[in-house]
Amino acid sequence: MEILLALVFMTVSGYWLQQGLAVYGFYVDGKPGSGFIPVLFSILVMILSAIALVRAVRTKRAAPSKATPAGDASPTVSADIDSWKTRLQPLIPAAIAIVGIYAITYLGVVVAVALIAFCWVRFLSHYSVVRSFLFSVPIVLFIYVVFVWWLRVPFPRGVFGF
Amino acid sequence: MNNFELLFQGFTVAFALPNLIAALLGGILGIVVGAMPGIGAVTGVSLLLPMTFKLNPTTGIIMLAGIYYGNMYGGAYSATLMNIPGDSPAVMTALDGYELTKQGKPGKSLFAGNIASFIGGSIGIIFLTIFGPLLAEVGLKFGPAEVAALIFLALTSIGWLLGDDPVKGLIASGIGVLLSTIGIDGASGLPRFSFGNMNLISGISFIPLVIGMFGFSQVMEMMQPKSDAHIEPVKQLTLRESMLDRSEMKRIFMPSVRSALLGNFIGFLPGAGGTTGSFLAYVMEKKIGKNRDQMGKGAIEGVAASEAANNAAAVGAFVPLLSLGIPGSATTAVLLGGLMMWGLRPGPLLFASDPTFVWGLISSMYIGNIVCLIAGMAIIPFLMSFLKIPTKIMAPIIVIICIVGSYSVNNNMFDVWFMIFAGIGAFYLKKQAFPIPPVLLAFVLAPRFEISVRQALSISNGNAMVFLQKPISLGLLLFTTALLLAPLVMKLIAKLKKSYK
Repeated sequence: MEILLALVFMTVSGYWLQQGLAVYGFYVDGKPGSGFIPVLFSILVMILSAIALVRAVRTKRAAPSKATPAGDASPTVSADIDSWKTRLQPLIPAAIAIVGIYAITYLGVVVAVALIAFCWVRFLSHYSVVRSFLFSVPIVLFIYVVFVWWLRVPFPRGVFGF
Repeated sequence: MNNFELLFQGFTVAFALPNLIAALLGGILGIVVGAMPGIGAVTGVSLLLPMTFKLNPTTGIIMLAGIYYGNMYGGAYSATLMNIPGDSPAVMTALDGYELTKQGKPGKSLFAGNIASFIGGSIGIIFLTIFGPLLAEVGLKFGPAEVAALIFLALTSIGWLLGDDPVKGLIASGIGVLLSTIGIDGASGLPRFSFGNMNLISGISFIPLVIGMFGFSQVMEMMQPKSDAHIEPVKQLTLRESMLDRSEMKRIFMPSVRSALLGNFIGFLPGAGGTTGSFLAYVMEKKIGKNRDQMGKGAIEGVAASEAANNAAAVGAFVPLLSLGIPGSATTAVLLGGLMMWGLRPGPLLFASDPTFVWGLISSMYIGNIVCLIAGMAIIPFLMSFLKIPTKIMAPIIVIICIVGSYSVNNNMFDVWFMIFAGIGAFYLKKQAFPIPPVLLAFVLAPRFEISVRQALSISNGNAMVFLQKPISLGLLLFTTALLLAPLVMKLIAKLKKSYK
């Protein structure tokens, strides 16, 4: 992951460097142009990312490789599944937030917030239907009172019109 | 008018009913949010920022400041009761606080923490009253070259100070600067790096970025299989059994005062903040304190040192924020963003151009500090039930506030998408030990840095020597170089000493 991040930073700073030099200009008419700071800092990020990359590669090489025990495939498979579960679990909020964006657009903020709160507590936190409902009601009320009624944020109305 | 007359005038602003309510509400909200494990000051302030939109700038910032130092009080609660620091500065509090809880004295620890926080906060505010205007006067002598050198110092020191790995810290600062270049170029007025996206022409919105990097990434961390497991049941506490006797008050007084002085000084430095302050104060107390042998085994002096330094540093960070426009911590960077959002420009001129706001804010801190002390004591029993809210309930609440809060900034779904993107990015950066606060601090500081550098170079017809010809900027650049080289020199000295032995 660290190697990947270093490569991403090098690519991004490379793009900033190219655009800063070719499109916005480093020095224009003897004065710093719009690309001046982007160029300087992209070079800095590139150098530092290269250092981070070299260090990450060295650390990876130095680490002892994990040997798979011969003739014992099933624990490895289940460990792999567990490891993927662990990796994907933190992305659940992102998935729910994306669903939330569409829900707010098409159903309106009140219904969307109620659905997110209820479904999360019911299916992810494994609470009973009644407790999930009791949890989602004050959340909807809070969002409605603060953001819709007090701050007058113009949320999409959705099919229900509220 | 001298400072004390201005301060007195500021009290008339602070005592206005809406401002008084804002300080009270902010303090209580701050304590409650700060007490929740894993949320912390910066997440708390960024999540609550959209709620202040409707208020006028002075009231809004008074409320945010209340949330900020209320958070510092609150951080000690979960650290003491559950060994889970509410935020990073409370890590040192947990060392002795939790030991006291195990000994059956959680109330004493919380009481000592509250008193020490009050002493730390008070010393910090007095120093802010005295040094804020003085520093602002010095700041008036700063031209573009000096401002650029000062921000360069801040940009490099935040990278060093906020992470264990200087390379990663500096990469984080660099990324923050690159992100800040998206949008209209402040000097030429031309759009840059907008990738053909209409929403990026005016630049990245600050609040969705903050909410994503601190609030949303926090929920992603909560979803990792861990936590809750080691939370132990907290017994009910009463105010009476929490009180400190006279000898205990005596024991915490001096450690609180010296830790507050140290913490306050550290708070002045860009990027150092409460974590460094509480850590150094704890180490100092362990070296020179009367009860040093008991430190780490349940000494109230340990709790007091950490909490006093933490609060003093929190207030100390307001000195460079208000007088130079340089945030001393990630949370003050969020406050800086809030000030800018309301059209206020912190810096040397703020004391002269908007004295009602500045002195109203400083005066409200005196009131807020007392409010937090009283509220901190009074809500001890109430917090017991609040702290028991499990993360599986907290997570959906935070996600909903993240979505709704990001949307409400510009009434635009693009900001929600961007918030999610920032949250995922921050989560994976944190997993690889990249510090996140430098990204935010650099993002806030970079536009001013860019304008100052380009102005200085334009005035000198492109001559880069301008930064070395002015004594203040030369001094700042030499200090920056020393700061950057110090770890390498220390390493070299250690190596030479080893080879000599």
